[in-house]
Amino acid sequence: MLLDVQHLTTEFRTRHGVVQAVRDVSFSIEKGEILALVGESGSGKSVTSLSIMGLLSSNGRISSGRILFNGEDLLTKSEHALRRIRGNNMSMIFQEPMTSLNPIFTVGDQIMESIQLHTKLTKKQAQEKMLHLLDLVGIPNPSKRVKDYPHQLSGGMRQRIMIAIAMACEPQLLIADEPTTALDVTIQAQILDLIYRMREQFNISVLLITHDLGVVAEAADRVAVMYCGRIVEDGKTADILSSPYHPYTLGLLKSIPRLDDNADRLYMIPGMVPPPEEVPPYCAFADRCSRAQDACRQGLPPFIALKDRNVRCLNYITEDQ
Amino acid sequence: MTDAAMPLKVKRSSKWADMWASIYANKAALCSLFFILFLVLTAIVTAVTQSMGIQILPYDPNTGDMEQAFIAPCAEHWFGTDQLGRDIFSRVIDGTRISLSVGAAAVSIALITGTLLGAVGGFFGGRLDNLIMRAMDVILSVPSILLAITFMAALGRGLDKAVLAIGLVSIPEYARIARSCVMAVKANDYIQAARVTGCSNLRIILKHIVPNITSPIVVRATLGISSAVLDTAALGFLGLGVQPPFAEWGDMLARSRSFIFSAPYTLIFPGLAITVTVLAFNLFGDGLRDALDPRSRRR
Amino acid sequence: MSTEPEVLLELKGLCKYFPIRSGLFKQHVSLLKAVDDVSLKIYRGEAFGLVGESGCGKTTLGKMIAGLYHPTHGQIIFDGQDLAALKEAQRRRFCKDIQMIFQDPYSSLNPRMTVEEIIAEPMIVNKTHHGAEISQRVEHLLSCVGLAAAYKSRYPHEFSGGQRQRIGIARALAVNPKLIVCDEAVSALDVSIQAQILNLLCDLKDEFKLTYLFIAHGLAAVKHISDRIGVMYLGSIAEVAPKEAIYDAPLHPYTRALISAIPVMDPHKRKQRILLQGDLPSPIDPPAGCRFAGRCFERCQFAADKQELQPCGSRHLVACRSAVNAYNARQAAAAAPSAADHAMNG
Repeated sequence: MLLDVQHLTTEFRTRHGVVQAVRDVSFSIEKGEILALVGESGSGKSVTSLSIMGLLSSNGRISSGRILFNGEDLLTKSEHALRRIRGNNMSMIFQEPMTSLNPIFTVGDQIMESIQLHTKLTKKQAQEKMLHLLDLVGIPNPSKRVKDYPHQLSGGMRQRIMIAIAMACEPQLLIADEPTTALDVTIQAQILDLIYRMREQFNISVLLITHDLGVVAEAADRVAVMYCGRIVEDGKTADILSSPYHPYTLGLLKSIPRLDDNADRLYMIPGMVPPPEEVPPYCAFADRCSRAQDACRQGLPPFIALKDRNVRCLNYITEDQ
Repeated sequence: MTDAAMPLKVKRSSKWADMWASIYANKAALCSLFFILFLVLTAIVTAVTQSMGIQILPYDPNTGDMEQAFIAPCAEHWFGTDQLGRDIFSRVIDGTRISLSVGAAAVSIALITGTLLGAVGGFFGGRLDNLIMRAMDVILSVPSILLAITFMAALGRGLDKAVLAIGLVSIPEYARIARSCVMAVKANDYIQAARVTGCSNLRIILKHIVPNITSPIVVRATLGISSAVLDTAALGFLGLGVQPPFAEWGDMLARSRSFIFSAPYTLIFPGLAITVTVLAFNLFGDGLRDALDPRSRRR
Repeated sequence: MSTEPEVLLELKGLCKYFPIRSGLFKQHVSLLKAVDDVSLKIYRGEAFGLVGESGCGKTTLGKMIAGLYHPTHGQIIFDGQDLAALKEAQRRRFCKDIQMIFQDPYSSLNPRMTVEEIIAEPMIVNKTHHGAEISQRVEHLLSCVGLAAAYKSRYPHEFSGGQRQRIGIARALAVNPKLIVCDEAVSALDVSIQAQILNLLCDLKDEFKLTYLFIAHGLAAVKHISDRIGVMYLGSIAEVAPKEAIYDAPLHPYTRALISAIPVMDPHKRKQRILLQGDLPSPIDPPAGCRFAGRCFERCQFAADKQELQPCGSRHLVACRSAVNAYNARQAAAAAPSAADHAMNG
């Protein structure tokens, strides 16, 4: 097991008081596995990834839980040890590559910097490695592209550069936060394909953060669905997408327009996601749920472990329904 | 329609309450606000009482008794008396009225003209914008106080002319701010939506652009008052502003500068009045900027 | 064969070029051909979906129709009147007929106006309603888009993205337009909210007898709402067809690639996808021949030729010679055996 997140709770100080963005979240990633964390905006999926990377903004903090990486708890480490682990073993790519690349340096400079920071290669070796990396992520004509500045490249190319930088330290874990959201469909397919290939080739683990169930279906081995800061269902992608047990997962799946479906109206989940400071102390989905019973509003439903998945619902949907 | 039954929980938070909370949290800005209110009240009370012929100041600020000249601060004359035997405390208080009203008037001139020019330039762009902004650049390339003095030389002495000169030289600042704000607001979809709706340019400027650029301009105006007070003092110091015997802080400084060693209190108190007032407007302006900009608002 | 339905909007050879100036004295001018020679018919009462990647000119096209850009060449014939030939003041009279819904629900509503002011503005500006009528209509429109009338005195920042989009829709409906241009109207919203807004738009179309031009980069959302779909690539139309034909029998290689790029939700059916190489070329000095040639996976002999839209069947238009040829060959092959049967029987 590479990454094991146990009972992670992250909170933020805001004008409305202390608000929990991530509530008691547990999941794990095996070596070479792609886990997708899926949810709508405000579900806490990005905050989870930032908590793991230690990139929370100054008003946020992890209030409880453990983050085990290769068996070591990251939250008890010193700042220095932490920086070493995060630098050498984990990398992150973001939604908008333009903002994560420095506009005043060429992409070559930025990849070189990353390589030389993490390895003890000579300049010549590092240069070779850079060209190799660019070739790996499918950048045509790499020796020419390294002299380009970020704004001279297209969105898809920039995301490839980001992946090259992320791969420079030969990480064990790649955290990809909405890596394809800002890209067009045809480019999105290319980038997903690339991430998939990186996994095959280097056996890295990937934590894929996305709101798009289509991306999940394409790329992930396992999926955890988040709603209002909690994981409501997790399991193998195939199981969950073909027969969701949690009513929220079902609602999400049904509300996506599908190509193979000619229904006149789209299914819609009534109501909307409550703001984080108004999440009820019982099942957060109960007020929008057609299967809700009185018991659902009594207290928080437990995380029920079933044969092939976990589900946080008292009245979950079973196969025969 | 089924959607109509959607439960709606809408965040209610008044902008004014948020703004007040932000200023309240910033103690320096809060103190400055109270001090500014105190200054304004002082100016109003002295103006009203003088026009009614009531004297509430301990002494008449404009007439002195030569025999009472150069009395150091004491129980009768808190700030002492000047070379003509006038009570400095009464003069400093009386000067508040002139300094504040000059500041406010100069800022109003600059604010209205500058905002209008900048908004027009930013909205229409092209050659008109180029023309306006190059003219502003020319004004900015000369030190403002020098330019104000040049204006005064052309216009002649007097408080009204000082106001005009100070107002004119600070037009470019407002024009620039207004222009960049207009350009930023113009990029929003709601401006395009207004066009699609069929709004005329005038309506777009008045209904959609102006209300959205007021906050940065108000902040600038608050800070602008302090520089206008300074400029008035500088012109007064050069003898170009208010004419004797009326009290104005800069003019008071100028007239007592030869006594800096023998009677320093004649300079200290008007100087202090200028410093504290300018500081108060600056601190309040900073606080106001934080309060109006949600991104820098304290959480 | 049925008679052609009534045309509400016809585009003829529509172009929009933006000059790009460079050099020390801005002396070099090259043209960014955002929209290049687009001809299109939109019928009254239909929902026309316009799909393409970012930078393909679909938004520019929508903005020209809504009157935000003036076309460089070409005609925009709306209800028999060429809008492109009109002066600004005359064009403004058509504002009440063509409205627009924007992508970003946050920047499309003026933060300093109340909901009522926002929805009432089109009625005031176009003088379609007066006095107390306006207030009544605002309440009616709010209920049409699924918001309580009590919210009319609130400001946009008090609403969520989906609710703001509903306000934007109410504003567009205020003057009873004939055509609404929806520019990526749901792309910025969460999945579950997208479904709510798409359903709402479908309902309103019948209720207000609207015609939609629905612009999107995602084929899935467009499919749900549209009757016909046009696929745009690099400033021109690659394929136009009824939606069933686009999804079940796409002819243009680009359309086929787009459809295969849509993730399939069923992981058991992971399909063979066509991965397009490279990015969209720059619309500054686009390729002279077939626009798609640089990324096309079927290198055909017509790559150097300019491709015009040609009919394939009654309602299907494709800008690809080799696809048209292949289609004609298939039709001939399908017709031939039956003809042979016929001959044998006779």
